[in-house]
Amino acid sequence: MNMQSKNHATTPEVNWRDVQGLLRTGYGPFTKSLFIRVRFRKDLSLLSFRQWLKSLLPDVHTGTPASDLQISHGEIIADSSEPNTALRLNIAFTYTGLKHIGLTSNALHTFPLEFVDGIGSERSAKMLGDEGKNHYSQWQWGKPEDIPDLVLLAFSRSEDAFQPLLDSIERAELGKVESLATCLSELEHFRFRDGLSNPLIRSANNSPEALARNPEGAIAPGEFIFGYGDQRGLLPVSPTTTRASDSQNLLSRAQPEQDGPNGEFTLDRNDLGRNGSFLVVRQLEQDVEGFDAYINGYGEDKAEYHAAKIMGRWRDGTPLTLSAGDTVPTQPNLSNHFHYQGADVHGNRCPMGAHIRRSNPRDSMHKDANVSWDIANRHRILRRGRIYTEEKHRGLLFMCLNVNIARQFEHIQSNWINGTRFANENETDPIAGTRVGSDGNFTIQRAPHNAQLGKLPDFVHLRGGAYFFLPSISALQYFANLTSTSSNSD
Amino acid sequence: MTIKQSCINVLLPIATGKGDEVSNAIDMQALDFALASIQTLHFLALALLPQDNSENPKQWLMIEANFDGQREDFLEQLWARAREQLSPILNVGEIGSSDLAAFVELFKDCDQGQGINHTALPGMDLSSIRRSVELYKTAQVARAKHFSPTSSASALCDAIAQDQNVKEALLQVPSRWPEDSLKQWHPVIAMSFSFILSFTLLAATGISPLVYGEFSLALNMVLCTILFLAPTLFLSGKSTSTSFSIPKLAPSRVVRAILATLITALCLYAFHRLNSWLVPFYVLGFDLLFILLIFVLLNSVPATQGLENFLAKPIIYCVLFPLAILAISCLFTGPIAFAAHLWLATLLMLMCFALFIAPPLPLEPIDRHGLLGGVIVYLLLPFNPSVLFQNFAVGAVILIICVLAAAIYALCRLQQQENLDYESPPLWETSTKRSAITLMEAQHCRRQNHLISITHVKPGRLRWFSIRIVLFFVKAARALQGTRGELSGIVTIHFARWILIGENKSQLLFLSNYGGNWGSYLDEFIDHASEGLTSIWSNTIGFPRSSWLSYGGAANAQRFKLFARRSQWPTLYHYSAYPEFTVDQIEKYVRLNTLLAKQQRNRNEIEEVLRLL
Repeated sequence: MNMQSKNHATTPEVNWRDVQGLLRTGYGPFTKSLFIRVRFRKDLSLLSFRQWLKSLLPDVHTGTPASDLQISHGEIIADSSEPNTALRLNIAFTYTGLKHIGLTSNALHTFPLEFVDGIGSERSAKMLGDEGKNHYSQWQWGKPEDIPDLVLLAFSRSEDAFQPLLDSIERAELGKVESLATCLSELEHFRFRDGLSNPLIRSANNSPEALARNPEGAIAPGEFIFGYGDQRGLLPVSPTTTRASDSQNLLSRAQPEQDGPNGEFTLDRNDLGRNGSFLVVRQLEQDVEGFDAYINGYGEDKAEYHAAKIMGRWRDGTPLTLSAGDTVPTQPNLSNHFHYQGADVHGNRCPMGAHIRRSNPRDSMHKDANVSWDIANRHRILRRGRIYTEEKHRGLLFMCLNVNIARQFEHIQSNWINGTRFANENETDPIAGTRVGSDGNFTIQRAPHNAQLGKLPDFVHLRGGAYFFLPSISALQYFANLTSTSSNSD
Repeated sequence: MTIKQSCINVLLPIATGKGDEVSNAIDMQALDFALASIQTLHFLALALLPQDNSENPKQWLMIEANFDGQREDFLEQLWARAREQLSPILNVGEIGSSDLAAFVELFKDCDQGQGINHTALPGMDLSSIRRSVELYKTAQVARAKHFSPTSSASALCDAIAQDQNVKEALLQVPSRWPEDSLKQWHPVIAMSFSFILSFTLLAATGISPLVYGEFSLALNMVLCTILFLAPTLFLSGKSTSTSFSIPKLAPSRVVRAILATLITALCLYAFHRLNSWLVPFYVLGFDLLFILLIFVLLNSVPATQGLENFLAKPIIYCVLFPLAILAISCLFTGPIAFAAHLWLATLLMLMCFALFIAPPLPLEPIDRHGLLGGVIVYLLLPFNPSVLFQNFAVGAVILIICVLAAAIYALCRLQQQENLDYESPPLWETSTKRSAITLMEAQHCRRQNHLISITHVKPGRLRWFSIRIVLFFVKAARALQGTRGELSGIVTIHFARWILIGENKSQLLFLSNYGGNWGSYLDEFIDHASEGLTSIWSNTIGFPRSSWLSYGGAANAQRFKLFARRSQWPTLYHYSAYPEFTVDQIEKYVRLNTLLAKQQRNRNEIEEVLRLL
């Protein structure tokens, strides 16, 4: 049955004023960034936290194109009149964080199971294939006993902007503060051009150029932001709270069709999730030497070719599907507008198991291209990853946004990256897949017959991670104004 | 003779309070080892299920198995190979079974029947699956051996096919797969079907003096021609489209079909000219043909095991229906008898088709469209103006109106009830929630999993009736559509079934052996079959609110997943004969077998062979 996506001509526009900026943009011009994890000290009083949050609120960046910014292709073009140290700040909470800041259990249990359990749990470890060296017991941060309560994502054009921010957090004496300096670079550490494909959120203002970049069309906002219709036209089930706890009526009322995941009706409830989202963070350390050594091991003259086959794009970003030859293209082609059906249906250009084909199978999931797009578009994420270099360690701070962690991020990781349905049995993603329980092979489809790369080592090690709730501006205000009488009953 | 996959779903009542002891008595490794020696067993699962919805229910020990061949043979094998491992479990549960006869008797007694049964690869027995996997590996080795950078694709492909090891492996594989040998009979079945329809039609129009004449004859001839042409054309065409469309036809096929039709038409014309006194003989012949057909079918399909519901009893089709038809023909005369006769016969034909012919036959879309087309034309016939005034037609119209009215009334009532008997499910208890998570954790992404879901049918006669009707339609639709490799578009299921169990058959048990993890499995269900599964489960308590029986419900993915999680019961033990293979992989290996077994391969096939390796 073809799940034809419904006509969304009437989808309301996203209220960007209430949405944190990260949902709207990857902050392209703000190449420097800091990922600040805060773990509350045990005796932190709710009052002082709320005061700190209130003082921070004016600085939290929203998705509105302020007068000094223009938005083009979803990227904010920086205005030169702004000082280099201008900050773009976003804030997100883990489940433990929400518990600590005084959210009542009445609201807490409207959050979905996977968020409650977190990424550092046995459930997620099994599901996502984070086993062996990648198991959460081996992480630097995010272990069950060391889950950060909140995270601040700061973006700027200059690193100088971060010290004052860190100082102010120190002054607030919230607890343990750790930070990871990240940056946006054209090439990630394996020297592939990154960030070429991201879903476009549906809006009446989508430019024709932006639409032309995305062959799947624009994706319903409800796949990434609570409070709007998703690809099926349904409102995603969103966390709610009692109306009584929201004495200032900061939050909007929950819709009847948003009956919570635990079956409670929304009669007397306000929508905590609206204009918010879930943020998945995974710190992935990359073994660059190992990767280079591996691809050179199959002949230095073919190293570029094999690297491209593993990724599905040449290092300069040209999709293999759009490049006919086996040699490095002279001109990079940064197009994202390509289909697998037709010229590349059997994977002779972009292998069936290549990284980009697994993480977004486009029209190759089903023999009917429309059905395939419909399925693939139910499992999209907004990627906001950045790279980091810490002494000897290099890697990617993978970040993505989605409303349903289980259906979107976890599905991609567990069934596509680590799934076997794309290639031969026991093959997983050649770059990001788990090697536990896998032969570590990678089949390259080609005429007249397939080739195989064998014994792929782990190129990527998971060093930490967490699931965060990225609240709307009004939900942040609600957190800052929670009365202490409604403090946590746990 | 083809091997048919079969299943048992045994529910053994265990002594009160012995549940924990039973689950402790399961020695998984020993069972794995013992079961692996049964060469016909695909999957086996053990679980403890509650007998009712109460706080502290009595429990059943469920044993579900999917195997090749007859139930008795399998039970003997099970006793012979796994007696030592199963006995402690049965003993702890105080289910006595001292010897083989008692064991088989016990299992047969407690078998709940096959219910609505789905098999992804009908006809593929375990040894065929194992052999084709073996061949795949041999062929891969052969490819590596014969590969040289200069050799052409066809040379390489031939070298692989001619390789000694591959040849030996190929000899192991039957040159024609079971399903293919069954497929040979397709045209025969379809043609007999249309012949019967044509004769019936002739008889129907010929019997009435009102419309007897050259005009009606001409109309008849046209209709018969269409009727006969439709299946023949659709059978001979080749189309991969899943919608009803006219396939591309080779000219020779068209000529052949037209010739065949002309000949038939001439024969029919000759018959017709012989005058109406022949009519009773047509009718008699039709009856005889039908009874013959049923007997042939029953003999070609192994007897249905576990006659769990009235409709599945072959005796109804063999004896009661023809008897009823004959009785009506004898007791009444004239148009009423004929109308009744015809409608009973149609019903019989459809049911017979749904229940017996189609399940073991992997029907291609082409075949089902042909047959469906034939049936539709047949049902529309009363609207032919020349016969419309016959009582037959009037009866038909009245019948259709009655059925439609009843259906609409029932749907409205169901919709009304949905608003009344929809209960907001209770909040999670902490412990239930934890156990649900444990359940999910048990599902690993890269192997096969087992799912047990028990739901309670909503109270009331209408629900009692509607769940049965829906299940019947699921069965009939699956039979008419053909199911090879998929269950309405879901490709991850190896075996699945729905059975009504318990006192008053008021609980719906769903069992599934699938590949992949829980979330993706449910996503597939929601993506591909949300209306179908809403139609079934909206009759059960706790399902997300649906509208008009089939809509809403499962489309609300998050709520549906919660419902699924809540209705799920843990599987204590799951055995799989091939844990590492998915349905599409097995299909791939079978395809490779078929290609390599060919004497000659064309260009596309050569490319396919090399691609598969």
